[in-house]
Amino acid sequence: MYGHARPSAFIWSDPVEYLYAGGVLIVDLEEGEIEQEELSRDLISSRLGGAALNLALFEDLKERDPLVIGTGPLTATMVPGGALAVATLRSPITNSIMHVPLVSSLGVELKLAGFSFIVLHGRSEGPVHLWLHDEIADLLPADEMWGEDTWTTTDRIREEQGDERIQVLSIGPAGERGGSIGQAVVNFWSEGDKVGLGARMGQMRLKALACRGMGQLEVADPERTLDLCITEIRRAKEKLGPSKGIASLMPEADLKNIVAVHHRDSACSGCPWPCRSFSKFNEPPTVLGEGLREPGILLADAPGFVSLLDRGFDAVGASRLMEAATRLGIEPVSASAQLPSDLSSAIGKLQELASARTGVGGVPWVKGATRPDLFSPFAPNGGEAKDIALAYILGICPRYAARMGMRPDFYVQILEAGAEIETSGEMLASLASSIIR
Amino acid sequence: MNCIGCGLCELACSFRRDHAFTAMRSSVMLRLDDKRHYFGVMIKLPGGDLLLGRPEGPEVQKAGAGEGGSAKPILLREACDECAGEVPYCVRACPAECLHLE
Repeated sequence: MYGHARPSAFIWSDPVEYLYAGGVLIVDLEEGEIEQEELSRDLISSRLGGAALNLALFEDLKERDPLVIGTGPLTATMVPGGALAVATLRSPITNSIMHVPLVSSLGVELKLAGFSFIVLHGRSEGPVHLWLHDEIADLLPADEMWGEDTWTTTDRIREEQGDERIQVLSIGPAGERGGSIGQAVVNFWSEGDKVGLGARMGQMRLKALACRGMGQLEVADPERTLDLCITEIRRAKEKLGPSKGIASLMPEADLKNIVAVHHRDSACSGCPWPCRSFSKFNEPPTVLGEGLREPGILLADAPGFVSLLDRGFDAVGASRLMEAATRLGIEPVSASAQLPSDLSSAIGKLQELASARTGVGGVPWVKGATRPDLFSPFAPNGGEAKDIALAYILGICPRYAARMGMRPDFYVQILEAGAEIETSGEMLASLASSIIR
Repeated sequence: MNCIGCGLCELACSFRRDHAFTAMRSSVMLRLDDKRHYFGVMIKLPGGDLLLGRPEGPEVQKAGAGEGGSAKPILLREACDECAGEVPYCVRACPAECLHLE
């Protein structure tokens, strides 16, 4: 029942020569079959990529209620913020089509593995995981993983495949039960899923999607592309200034005693803005040595952490709860409202929520999020809806887009230099508008 | 150190060699334990030694010490040639100014 597919050449060139990888991978989970369809230049010309192209692919198979995961033309490039993959699905919370941002290095590895777009549909007979590498797609059993927490699954896949840089999108026990509180987790961290992607994966019996990319993206005009990227990185550096991690992302939030756990700040792949802070609460946070045993928690989901602070926990307690929620695959903003004030009771409550098919009444409210009816509220720093939509199409992190704005002239130039795509600011604006109506 | 773990140095170095976006051809690699948020960079020097840019401070590690943690370890990569006299691509791309040529 398990599929295996390898398209033709390793360095992709046709039908779309530059900046796109492979075609559209279609995974029928019910039959355990995988096939690849061509990614046509017409489709690229009309939809470019990311959320816009995902919607077209969703429409093609809408009677199967698919899950579409796609990248943008600028994902995995040196364009600042270009690390985004987008999951497009019918949210089990809203029953409407929504987009989930997937950051860290997931989109980069997905694309460099040779897969720009993946359409999954059906419900697998048994638990499975999808392993994407070297233009090969393997649909593998996940019986041994089923029931594991997200950290164990990520560790297991990396150990089995022998590569520490494999990116893993996985669900924990909460998602396996299919309740809409289930969150999909990237590697070890809660990120952008606040609309039930984890629950949808659980309903499909898809435990994880793992990818590692050793391919490359060809570029039409290398010299000009590099110049544009370096200039844009410099511009970003000047505008962003010194960063303080989540304090820069959510400057108005009361972060309480975060100094007691604040370790280092970091960025996703290809992003000059380190908007994530790491909390070390099992060891002194100022210790920077290698080989420390206790992991701590990356506060990539700043709204989740702040919701726990607002619930009355201090930075240490909120960090411990973030770890527990992330391992169980529970969306922390929705969970925070249900937690008792005592820390050990709260951890027990999270385990209780994960052990049942727990639903939520609506998409969690995140102050500052733009169009939370369409985009999972990952970016608490606002941004114009048209900018956020364009970022979701091009493969730019929405937080970065909200912070920096999306300058059409730059994106017109980089698409032309990188992929020989001739467009205009008006065309980009029109496409962005089409997905936020 | 100022490194933010963005990996733009890897992409820039590979781009110089291949004129394409990949992280597989670089002489500089992120040195990463993401679960413990331990990260820095390492550069393959001519002769095979590794220059480690670590949070604890820089260190030169002798060739063959087994660094990498990747499908293509740094030991299999070309050594840094300092971009043959140009301002190194990794230095130009680093948004945190943690890479310098001395």
